[in-house]
Amino acid sequence: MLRLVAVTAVVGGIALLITTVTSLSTSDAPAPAGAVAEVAAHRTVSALQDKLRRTPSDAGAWAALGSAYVEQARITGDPSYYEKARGALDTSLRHQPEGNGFASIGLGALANARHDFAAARDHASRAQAVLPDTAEVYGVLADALTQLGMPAEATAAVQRMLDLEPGVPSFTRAAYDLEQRGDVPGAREALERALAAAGAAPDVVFCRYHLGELAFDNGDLDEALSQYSQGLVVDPRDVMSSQGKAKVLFARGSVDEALRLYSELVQRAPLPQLVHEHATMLRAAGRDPAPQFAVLERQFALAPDDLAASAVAADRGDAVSALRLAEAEWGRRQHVLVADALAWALHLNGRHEEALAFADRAVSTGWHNAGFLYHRGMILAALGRGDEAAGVLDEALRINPHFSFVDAPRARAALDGLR
Amino acid sequence: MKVLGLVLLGLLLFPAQAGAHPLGNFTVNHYHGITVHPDRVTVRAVVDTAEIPTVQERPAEVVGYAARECAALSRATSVEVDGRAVPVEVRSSAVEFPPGDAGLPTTRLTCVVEAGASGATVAVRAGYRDDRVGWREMTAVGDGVALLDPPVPAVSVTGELREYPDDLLADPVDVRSVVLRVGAGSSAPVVGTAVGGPSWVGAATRAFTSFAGVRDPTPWVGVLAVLLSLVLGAGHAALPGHGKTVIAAYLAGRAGTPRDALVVGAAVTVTHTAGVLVVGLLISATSAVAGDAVLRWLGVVSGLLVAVIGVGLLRTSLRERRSALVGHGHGHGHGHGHGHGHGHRVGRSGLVGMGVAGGLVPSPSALVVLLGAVALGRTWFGVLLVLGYGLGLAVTLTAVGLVLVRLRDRLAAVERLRDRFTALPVITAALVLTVGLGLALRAASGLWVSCAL
Amino acid sequence: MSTPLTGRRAAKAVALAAVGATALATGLLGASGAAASSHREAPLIAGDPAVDNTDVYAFVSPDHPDTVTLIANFSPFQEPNGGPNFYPFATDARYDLNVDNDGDARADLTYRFTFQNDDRRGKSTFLYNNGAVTSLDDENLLFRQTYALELVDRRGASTKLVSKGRVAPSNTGPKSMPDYRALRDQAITPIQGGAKAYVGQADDSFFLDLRVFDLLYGGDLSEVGQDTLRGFNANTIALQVPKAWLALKGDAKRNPVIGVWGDTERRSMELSPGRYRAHGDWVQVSRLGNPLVNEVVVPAGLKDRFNSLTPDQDGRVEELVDRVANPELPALVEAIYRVPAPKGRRDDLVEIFLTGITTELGGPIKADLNSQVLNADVDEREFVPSEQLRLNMAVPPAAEPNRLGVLVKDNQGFPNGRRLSDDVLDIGLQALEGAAVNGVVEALAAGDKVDANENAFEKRFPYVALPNNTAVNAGGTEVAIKPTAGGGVPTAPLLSGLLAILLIGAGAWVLRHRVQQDPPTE
Repeated sequence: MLRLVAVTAVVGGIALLITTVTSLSTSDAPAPAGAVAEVAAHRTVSALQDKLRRTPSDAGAWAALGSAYVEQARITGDPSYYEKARGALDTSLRHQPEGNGFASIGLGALANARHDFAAARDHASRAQAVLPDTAEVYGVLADALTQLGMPAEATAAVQRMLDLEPGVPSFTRAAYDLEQRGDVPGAREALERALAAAGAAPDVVFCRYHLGELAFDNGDLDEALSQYSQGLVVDPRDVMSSQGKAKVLFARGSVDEALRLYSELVQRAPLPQLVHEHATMLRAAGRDPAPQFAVLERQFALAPDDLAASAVAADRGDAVSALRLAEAEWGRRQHVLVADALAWALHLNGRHEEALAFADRAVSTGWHNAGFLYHRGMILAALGRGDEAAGVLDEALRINPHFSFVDAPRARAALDGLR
Repeated sequence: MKVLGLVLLGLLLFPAQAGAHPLGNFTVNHYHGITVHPDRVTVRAVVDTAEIPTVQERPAEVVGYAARECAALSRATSVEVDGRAVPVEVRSSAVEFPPGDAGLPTTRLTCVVEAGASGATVAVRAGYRDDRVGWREMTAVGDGVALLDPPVPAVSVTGELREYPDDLLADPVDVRSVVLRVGAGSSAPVVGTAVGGPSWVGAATRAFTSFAGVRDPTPWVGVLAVLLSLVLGAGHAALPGHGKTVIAAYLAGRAGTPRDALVVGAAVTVTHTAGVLVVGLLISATSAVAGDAVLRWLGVVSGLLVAVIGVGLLRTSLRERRSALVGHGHGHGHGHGHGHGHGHRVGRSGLVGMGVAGGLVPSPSALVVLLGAVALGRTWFGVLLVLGYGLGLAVTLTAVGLVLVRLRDRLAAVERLRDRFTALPVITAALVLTVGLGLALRAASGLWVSCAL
Repeated sequence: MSTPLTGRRAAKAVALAAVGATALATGLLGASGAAASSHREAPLIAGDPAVDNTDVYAFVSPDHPDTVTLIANFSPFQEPNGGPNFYPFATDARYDLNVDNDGDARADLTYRFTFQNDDRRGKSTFLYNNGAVTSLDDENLLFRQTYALELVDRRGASTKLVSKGRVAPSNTGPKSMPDYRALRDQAITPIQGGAKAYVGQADDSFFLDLRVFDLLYGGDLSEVGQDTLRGFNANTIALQVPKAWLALKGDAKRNPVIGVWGDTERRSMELSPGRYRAHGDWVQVSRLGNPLVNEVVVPAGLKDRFNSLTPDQDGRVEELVDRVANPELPALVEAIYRVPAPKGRRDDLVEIFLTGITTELGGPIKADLNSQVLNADVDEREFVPSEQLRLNMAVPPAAEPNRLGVLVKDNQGFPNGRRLSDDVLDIGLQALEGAAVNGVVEALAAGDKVDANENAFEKRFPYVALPNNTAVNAGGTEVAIKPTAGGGVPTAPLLSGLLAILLIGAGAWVLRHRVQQDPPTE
């Protein structure tokens, strides 16, 4: 009777007590690894988001969130972060329109990501006025100045950044600076210092990839593959490390495997650079690159990039467009890569004399760039300066016998013809 | 870039920045809308593919494209019911190519796929083009079942990938899989459109369960909710189940009194309320307890309890029948007097046992209310509603019992007949035993618990 | 990058975005994925947690009162049990613990730790360990670090104290490191002359609700009470040395006051064409003395500058001195909470942060506690105000340390040095409100409602708690993301417990009464 109910109640109560206590003591059990990683991944961004829900008029936090979003976009490749970044940075400026250096840094980083280098430089200058001792200012400034073709000013900005905060951001920028000036060992040392200082996986992968690139661009396939592979150990899905690996495969004659890898990559991440390389590789292997070029055409319609488009036009034999695009880009910025593209476009249009001027400009910083030398050699050959041409082409192939899927064999053929 | 509405906004605000970032045009965005039915799981999948991948994959023939891609999508979508993988089949497929930026088409693929089973837990994982950057959204609703505390919303925040929200304080949604706990969908009468119940019960139940989620319950809303919970408990008891058959047979077969009816009602209420509280709080306190397993076990216990009572009844009635045949006829003692010692009187422990058996399996809707309230941090409100629900249950059951007792008292002829026809108690006892065993077995086989009790 | 109100820790948390994004990158585009080839999208705010000095402690050792223990923490927000993640010290950096015992704002003694890697992983794995690690020499431990400790005097002459000390590893979980205490004990290195050192991982000993500043400004302090750093680990350097080593002229009786700060330095790089050097000058990238200076004293735009300043430069940075003497926080608190801000120039804060507490320099606090001018052999004319954590070593260890330290007359606590258990956030808040002169401000007495560390500190060297080895769950910043209903009290278990007790009680009551009134008839 009641006794039954009473006994049931006591037994149930004890059982409940036990499960409650055990549930309390087990609530510290490790979360699944994925959850841990995910929590860590969003800690910063979520901490700032949370903070801004509490104090929505905190201009500094909005600026920090904007910069964190730019970084997230770079790391994840998810473009929607760029729009969020812009929104967060604008909000920051709304709350603090004057002297908001941190918002200017974020806007500069965003402009660099969008390849609007002139705007990035302006943002950096505004930030510099308020935050003269903040390393990030000089990072934004250095990126912009480099791309605008002001190497000396860029070097000074990187040096200032190094002296404020030696670390991954400044070491990686130093490496690019040194590489463009032809100091390959220095660039390698800088990247190795960056690698040693890198704690986060994306930074490690970035350093490994560029160490690989440096090796590849200077003809060391073994070292390149080793670096790309170590990057892939850290992040097996990293697109650029796979791209590096595919390049090495192709250079070593594993054409089918390289092509398979590339077609998978362009499916996963149809970056114009990858699609263009895929097209070039298909052509070098005697396959039809037309579908890839069709994709590139749409891409440039959606997101104009005159430098890349000029190179594509040149590859497709559209000399007129190549020149128009290269000139347009040159009007905006005078980086050596643009000088090289313009030289080649002029050459394709038969304007070899003018072309040589720009080819000279392209190599003026001393960059050991086999592509630049190939273009310069072919221009010299077109001008009838055979001996010089042979010397330059020979140097190009000595720097990197695999500098281009298509052009390296052409350089070799041209060299044979000249001798 | 058109696929991202927020980007459009960005372009409007910054027309000079027409050159969007090159990454923007190659997202592949996914939406999976899951509906769990009592017998199957359907997924409405929408894949919004931006301009560049659309160009890359430009279907040579639009005709077969949707079917082909939906087949691939169904292969890449895994549905697990109670830990078992269930094959996913395409029910319908459609594709359109809405224009995007620069006059380029985008692709909008819509697939409805279905897994032909449902259960207590349903896990869905979306694997179609999972290496592409993009928005990944999932929603889940129950149709004919209740989803317990689902981790994904019921409604798409993007209108199924048509408008992307521009909340600056939220990350892009990236949900690739979900595990849904289904509210006792296969083991008990179902919340919402209760099986076989009048539609108003379903509607009222939905209102009831939604009360627990009311943001800031005002006193009036609170009172209304408790009243509704009373009505619902009463209505729920009126549905098939809850041992009414057995209780009726018991009271009819034995010499039940109004007081006995009250005892049964009280036992049901106490057991049911305690059961809901214990099971609900257990589930919310520890994830180690799977709700549906607990319910199943309670079903087994409930059935066995009924069976035990049946055995007891059978024994006494057989004994009495022998003594009755000897001529020791005895009136139906009207339930008074302690220590009567005669089997005719309805045993109090039997009555309580009957009530316990009837109330042991918690009503899923009451459970949902409690869990919802706990999740929202309003546990006390949930407890109050569950109490009301139990009281409602008791009112109906007691009323049924009282009506039966009255009816039987009026029908003296029946009574006389019964006194003579001494096999009747044996038959009712056997019936109770059979029903109890059946219930226990069914619960044990995990099929069906309390519907026919 | 820093934000005005969250300061150092939150700012470095921003940097951690990149650290944590490991998983995020997987399956998506990948780290180096960037658009065109000409522009390399290099990391910009990668952060440098490895050299981020988050806290400095200095106290008379409670179990060895003839010694002083100095502790510095680095690399905050280490996720325990985070799979392959581990947290080495930087090998191209100097980790310095500095002591100024004559008050000229220059380091008279620098205990300098430098690190070397012993990487046995090869090229095919990035795993830290390959099975359970039961000792520092365990061959399963694939990545190890050793350190050298040298003592640099004020002329730059250095003496090697430890040449190959062993760093206790990152705790990668209970399976990998079943007995972390054993590893820690092995990592405690004795130093000749009665000193010892520990370098390795530990529970982050700082406890506070970082959101207190937002909430303070937001006008709603009711939400505080969550230890933001709960469950996270940090890298710790701990050093215990005899008082005489630290005191001016080796005489801790005559000269008991020292100033302490930590700093880290990394080498720059020289890019000038023709003069390239991979390893350039040393650059100070992090500096810390008093806790919370970055949060409440240094203005947002000055944080990076402050990290590069040496104490002798502090007085020349007008903005910094101004901010100490005219802090922003009390005015805001007055506007929101009607707690009147102390009037006029805040010379009490100048004492606490810049000179040490003394009556000899004309400050308003009526006590002589911890300024170097109190040392018998210090020439007051040579004294230079600077931001340091100042400790009077003559104050004996408190038998019952009070978390509010000097504010409640426990003179062994902050701001006289800093013990692990000192609630510096609450003390700092009170100090800003003028408590050092006017007594505790009751309206803000609850502070951030985080009064102690989640893990108990140890009774013996290195005192810090063992590193956590379970993943940070509801205790960390996620709570900030999803506030729990009911102010963080676990409602469900509480109710379950109540219900259980109710059931048992009622059942027992009924049983007893039935037994008494109505003994069973069967």
